[in-house]
Amino acid sequence: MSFAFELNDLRFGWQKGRPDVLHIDRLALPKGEHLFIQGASGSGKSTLLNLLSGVLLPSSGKIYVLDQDMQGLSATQRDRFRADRLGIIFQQFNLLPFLSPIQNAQLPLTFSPKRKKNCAHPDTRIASLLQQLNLPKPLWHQPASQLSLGQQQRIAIARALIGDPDLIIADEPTSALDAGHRDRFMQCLFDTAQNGHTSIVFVSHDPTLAHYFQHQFRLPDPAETATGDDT
Amino acid sequence: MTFLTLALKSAWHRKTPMLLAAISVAISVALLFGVDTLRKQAKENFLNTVAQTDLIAGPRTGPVNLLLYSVFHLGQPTNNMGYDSYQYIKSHPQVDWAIPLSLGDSHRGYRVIGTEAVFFEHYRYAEAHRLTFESGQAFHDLYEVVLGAEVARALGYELGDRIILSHGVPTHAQTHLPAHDNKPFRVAGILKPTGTPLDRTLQTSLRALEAIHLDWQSGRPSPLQLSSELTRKLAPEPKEVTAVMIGLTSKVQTFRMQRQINAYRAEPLMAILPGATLARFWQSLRHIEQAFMLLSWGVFVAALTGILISLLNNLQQRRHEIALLRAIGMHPRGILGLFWLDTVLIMLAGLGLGLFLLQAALTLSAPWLLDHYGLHVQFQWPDMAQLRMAGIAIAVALLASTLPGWLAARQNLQKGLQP
Repeated sequence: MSFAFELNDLRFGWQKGRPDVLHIDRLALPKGEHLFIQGASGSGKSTLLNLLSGVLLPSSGKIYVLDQDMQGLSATQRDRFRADRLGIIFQQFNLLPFLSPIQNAQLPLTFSPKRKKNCAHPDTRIASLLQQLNLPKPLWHQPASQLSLGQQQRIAIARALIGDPDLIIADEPTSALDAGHRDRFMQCLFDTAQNGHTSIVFVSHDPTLAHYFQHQFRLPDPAETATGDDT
Repeated sequence: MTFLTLALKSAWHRKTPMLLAAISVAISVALLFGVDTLRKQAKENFLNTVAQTDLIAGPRTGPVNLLLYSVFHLGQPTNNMGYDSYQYIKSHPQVDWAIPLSLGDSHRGYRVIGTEAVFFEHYRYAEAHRLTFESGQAFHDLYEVVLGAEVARALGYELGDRIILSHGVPTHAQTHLPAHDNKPFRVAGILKPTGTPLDRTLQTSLRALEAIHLDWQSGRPSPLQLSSELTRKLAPEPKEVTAVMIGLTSKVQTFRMQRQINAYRAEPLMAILPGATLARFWQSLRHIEQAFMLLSWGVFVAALTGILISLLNNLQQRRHEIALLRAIGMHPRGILGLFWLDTVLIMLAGLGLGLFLLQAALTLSAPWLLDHYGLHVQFQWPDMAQLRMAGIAIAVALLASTLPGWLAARQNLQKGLQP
């Protein structure tokens, strides 16, 4: 079976001798499927996402992302891997404020020749994405700083999805949005990801979002003993 | 979109702090290049003034002193030398030409040089340029005067105008000078600009100066007034000169001739080599020069610190931008590149702005420098040495900006992908 990612006996601590921030016995996500990770603040959510995106390496254990052994890659190779195969959506500040939505959506193509190759017609692809994300056409060429937060988050989806990455990593992307915008965001995310059979790892502290996902995982509270459970 | 357009757009987004940093660089560039330009042009100016003069002879005094008051009209002569000594020098077989200079009178703040016809024939400036007349000719009649270009321009004189010379040279303590008002002079000629202190002088004959002082006693008009026609008839021989500029038939003879003048028996004289004396003069000013350059570099370091601070401030401001760029695959080297590009932009803008500022300042201060120091200063494009200074400045700035760039790339790795 092919996995979007696979963790085995993963531990991460910032310093030796201090308690680990994160300890997961086993966690895996089949390709093309979606996972919801719930965790309170301080539970190691961000650490997990940084491990998945190859910014950090575990202290011990194994981590495979898209069947790639992350520990076998150099820092530069991990940068390349991230640029080529992952799409990342943050809680906010997803766009360069001085670029238009179209230019922002194009950015990943600048840094990844592979994604540029995947995307034969960037202009039409971006146009269709922005349309799908319900962004009014007059806004397409305005600086991103002039858009509302909800609009900016939806453009982040386009930016993450351009050039068909295999895995989307989303870090609390809806926490700054009101209920209406949040549902719209989730809908857009799933609709656009569906087309490319892209896997999604979605982290949030908000359990009401869990029903969108076929897999759920709950990071243990830092207060509790650090043990993980399977999905 | 390429890396460069992205970086430029990002810089444009932060144009106000960038511009402020560029302005601080511009001020230090203007200062640095300004001091350097002034220094070089002052040397050139001074050297131009004594072009082709092999020796300057005068009464015994300090060599630098003699040079400064005789040709640059800075300071006051303390003594004069006898006219017969001038004639001895003039008739010496090794001497090609000898120009007598007699200083002491003025006209509305401009010095009057008493000399002879040989002046217009042999005086050379800036390598080997001869004096040429804008209009008119050299003085022939006793009461005729020739004006330097700047004098004619500033006072609006034309040929044939009548002017009155004053006794003495104005100093701060003494603003009103007794005038030779019963013996007006006629403007016979106006010289073309030379870019030397000569432009700010009037020239007349030694005999004329002797004539207007004929009815004077110890610096004051005597009760016995002689008419200008009567003095013309008396036509006195000149008795004294202030200094003599000498051209030799052969440069090889310079030191021998200098020794002969120094050993002249009839009166204590000295002769100096203008080039060598000028070099001594600059040597004595070396510390001041160095202090100015040091000060300018100090200002540059302050500007550099300004850049560094603005880049470090940026670090916080650009945290999100950098995290985002890292997330979509920009290498840490790319982040460093962004900071370097910022610095290069600031430095280039600062250089351009600084040159503009310098040009404006020089254009504005040129008349003042000319009035007070007789310095002809003009804007020049940076020479090789100044380009090298600019190169060093940019290199140092790049080096300094490596710190915030490195911090930015590193900080982000530590904190992970968290905008």
